[in-house]
Amino acid sequence: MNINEQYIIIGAGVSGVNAAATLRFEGFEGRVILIDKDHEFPYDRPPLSKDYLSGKIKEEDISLRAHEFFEKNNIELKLGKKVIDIDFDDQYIKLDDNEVIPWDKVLIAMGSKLRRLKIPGRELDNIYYLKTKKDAQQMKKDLKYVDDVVIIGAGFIGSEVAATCRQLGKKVTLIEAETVPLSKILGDYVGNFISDIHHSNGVRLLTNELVTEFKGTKKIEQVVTNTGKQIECQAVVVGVGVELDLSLFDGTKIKVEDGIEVDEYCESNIPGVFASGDCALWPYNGERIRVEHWNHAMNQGITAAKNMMNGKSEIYNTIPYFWSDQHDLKIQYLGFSKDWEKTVLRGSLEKQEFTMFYLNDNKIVSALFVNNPRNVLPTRKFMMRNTKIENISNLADEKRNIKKAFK
Amino acid sequence: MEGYTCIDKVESFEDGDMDNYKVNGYDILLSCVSGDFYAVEAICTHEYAELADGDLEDYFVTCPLHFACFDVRDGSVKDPPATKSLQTFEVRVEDNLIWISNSPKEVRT
Repeated sequence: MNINEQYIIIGAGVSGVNAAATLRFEGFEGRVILIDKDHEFPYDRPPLSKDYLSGKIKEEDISLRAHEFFEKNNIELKLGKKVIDIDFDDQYIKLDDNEVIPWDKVLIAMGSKLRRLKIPGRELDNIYYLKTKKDAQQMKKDLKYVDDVVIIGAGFIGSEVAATCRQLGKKVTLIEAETVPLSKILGDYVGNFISDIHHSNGVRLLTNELVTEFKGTKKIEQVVTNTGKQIECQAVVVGVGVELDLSLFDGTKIKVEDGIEVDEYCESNIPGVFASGDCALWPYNGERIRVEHWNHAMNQGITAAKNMMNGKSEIYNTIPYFWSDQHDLKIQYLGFSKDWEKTVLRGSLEKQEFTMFYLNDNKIVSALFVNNPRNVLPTRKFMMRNTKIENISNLADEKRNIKKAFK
Repeated sequence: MEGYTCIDKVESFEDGDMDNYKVNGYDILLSCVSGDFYAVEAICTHEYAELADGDLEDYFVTCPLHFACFDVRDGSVKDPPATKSLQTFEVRVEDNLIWISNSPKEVRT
């Protein structure tokens, strides 16, 4: 059927690789070309801030697929190539080595890039942004000779890197612009709990501080904040979120807002052009959202691939999810919410084992699990049903089986 | 029963139950579906997580960490991110006792 068709996937992260694999598993017989500007063989990013950085796991452990997988499945990899032009009328792309490749369908899974601090001293050495394997390798190498690390941004990545650096025996200062870390998505109560965990693990956490300048001669020596604090260090890691670079689509007819707008089938306003992962703006509970998480990237890539092959056949409908490992905490989070009417705690913060439910109109809009994996799947199932909780106090009652609380 | 280890009584299990056991050094997840018992390795093949903390629905166990899903009958992957099957172990029931084989059925490919 589609043996003469040619599909291009831009981006060989977890979204693009899973999309390519899905095309083959589902029996697509045409050409599959997977392109990435990174030179490295497709790898998994989550370990970069954790076990790969700490040295617990090796390079081969973070491959997204075994090397032979791509050849065996006839997936053509073009690595170290940047797409510099895309034509939606004549349906071709152009790479930075001037190769022109026509396509019948294309999946844009380009991911995001790290937001950079544009402050004086930013050109100094030993200021790290952790996005690629190369970044992690360089950091890992340099950290050996470093005693004091400053981490800017106490979000999930910053917190993970802080925990990893403590494991490596570094003195760590974590600087956060907000009053309470992660309070925007977790609330002050849980945010303060996370702060306490950092303190008890020897991380010096400074909140309400904005970094205004980097000082040093060649390498970083000092980080300066808006309140005049000067923190001595030999390395800085910046984790202040991501942004998109969609300049490739400037002046084209594809609809781009804060991300490439797609429908529930992951298809953009241009038929045959799909987007998935960080760069896709997709419909969720009556709004359009962008999600920068690993499971989302994988699953949306898989659904996009099925719809590329089979028309609009599968709706992408999932609860956003992420996990984070920091210090001794296994953190998991389901849902998406900027605000909530109330919270219900199940378990104990003191024991560091609990689930926090965030509710709006008696529906669970999100949930945080700390060392509490058993509650994740029942909660997820319930959230998929999108129904109200009849008796909210049941949720908090640990003596009652969680599955029964959702009945 | 030679080559097998007795782990529990049949009546300790209800349909849909699963639990962890250690047999001959292997961490094993035993599940009970429609009155039959199935033994697979207890840890997700994708990344370290105990499947017993996940969810068993019908013959399918879902990992609580990244939601990989496996068929407990043959260990095969139903949903990613796992790409490798779980090892499976023979289970025998005799005189209301459950016995699990001391070694996996076959080497994983």
